[in-house]
Formats: sequence, structure tokens, C-alpha cells
Amino acid sequence: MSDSMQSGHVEIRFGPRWKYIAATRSYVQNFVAISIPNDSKADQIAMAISELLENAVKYSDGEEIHISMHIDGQAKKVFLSVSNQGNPETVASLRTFFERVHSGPPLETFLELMKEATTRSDGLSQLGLARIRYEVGGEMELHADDNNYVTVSLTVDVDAKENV
Amino acid sequence: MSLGIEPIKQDKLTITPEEEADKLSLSFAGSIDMENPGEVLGPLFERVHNGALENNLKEVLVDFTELTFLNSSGIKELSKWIMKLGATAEDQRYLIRIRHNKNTTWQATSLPTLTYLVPGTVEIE
Repeated sequence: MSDSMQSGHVEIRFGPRWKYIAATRSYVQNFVAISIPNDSKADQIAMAISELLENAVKYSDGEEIHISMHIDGQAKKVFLSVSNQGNPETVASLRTFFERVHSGPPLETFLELMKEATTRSDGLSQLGLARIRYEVGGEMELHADDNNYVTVSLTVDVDAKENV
Repeated sequence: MSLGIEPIKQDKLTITPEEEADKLSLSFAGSIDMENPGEVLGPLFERVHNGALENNLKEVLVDFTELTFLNSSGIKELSKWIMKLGATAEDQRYLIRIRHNKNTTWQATSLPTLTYLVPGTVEIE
């Protein structure tokens, strides 16, 4: 394979079933790996998709999860997003939590949330977003429309130096 | 020493315990990407922790080299184990030694983070 990065685009829609997450992670890893020359970045993006999908499946109020991924070979960036139907309560708590995840340095915030997770009794970890921020980096954004349709997007600079 | 820890096979995950003299190792293979890995890992780590204290073990080896994926809920379970060890009197503590494959991206990025939780309780090799 040449060292040049190729552009590409993929969209996936699936019903909110946990068992589809691993298959989608594997597909995304392969899709990214054939487009960019950096295998570890493809692995990281696949991990990020997996964590975002776990959140989407857990908190979805609808039957469909939507994944969009665009690889821009010229800009050397990968744009990905995961969308699902939420409700006013889940959107409000996601907004608050999103701010928390971005409130401090990536490693310190991840460690704080890891310690908090150990005391949770609700079965949740709430570590996925902080893990992505620390291990993958990039720019993560949250958008929810008036109908509580939630989209978490991540832009990854393929040439960027990694946090870890 | 006999901790009586049984092998585990659930979904795509296999955990093989091995006891030898005063050493215990847990070899993980497959992936930890189920919705609630705590159902499997919680009782296992609890049993390992209590058994290690009762038998005065100095070290538990956790071999992740054949583990292909670990989700953040799995990281939570490992963190719980480490925090529990951190809450144990220092003279009774054992070392959790994590063997990893540095060529597997998530292992190289996720596992070293565990050493920061309670300094001195976890080593990565």
C-alpha cells in the first residue's frame, strides 16, 4: 500500500443491538486501515466508534443507530459521528457529562472518572468519552436537535501527535 | 496453595487461571466487549483478591497478550480491583503484574493508565 491517504465515505445504520457493535468495530477498523497508512490510528478510531456505539445502544430511545464516517485524504482527517434518538432527560445528562469530560486535562479527567466508576452501583462505567479524549484525542462535539436526536462527532487528525 | 479458581468461558472471552507454588496467573483470550463484563469479572477479581490475601501471595500475573479488545466497562472492573487493592493495608498488598502486547494499539494506550490509579500496585510488562 502506498503511504498516501485516500478519501472515502461510509454510512451504517443498524438497530440498537449490542451484538452488532463488535462487527461494526471490525468493519470500521478495516475500512480506515485501507485508507490511511497509520494502522494504530485505524485501531484507535475503531475503539472510539465502539465506545460511542456502546453509549448509543445503551441510551437510545429509538430503533436505529446511525454512523457516518468520512476520510479526507487531502486534509488528512477522519470525521466520524454516531447518532441516536434520545429524550430530554438523557440529552440533559449527556450535556452535563460532556462538559465534565472536557473540564480538565485528558489523563487527569480519565483517572478521576475511573475512580468514580468504581463506586457506581448502577452498572454503568461512563468512561467511554474520557477514554476517547485521552487515547484518541481529536475534537469531540455533542449536538442535540429540538427532537432530542443526539449526535456525537469526532474529528481526528491522522498526523497529530498522540496523547498517549 | 489452592484458590480454587475455575476457568471461565463466556461469549468470546476465555480466562484461564494457573496456580503454581505461590504464584497465580490469569490468562485472558478473546475480547471483553459484552454489555456488562462485571457479571464475569467482578466475582472473579473478588475471589482472586481474597484468595491472594488469604494465601499471602506477592504477585498476581494478568496476561492480556491474547485479549483482542477491552471496553470501558471492562476497564471499570479492573479499576475496581485495583482500588480495592489500594484500600488494603500496605503490608498485605500484592502486586498486579499486567503482561501486555505493545503491538496491540489499545493495550499500549489503555493498560499503562491503570498504573496511575494506585501507584505501586500495578506494573506493566
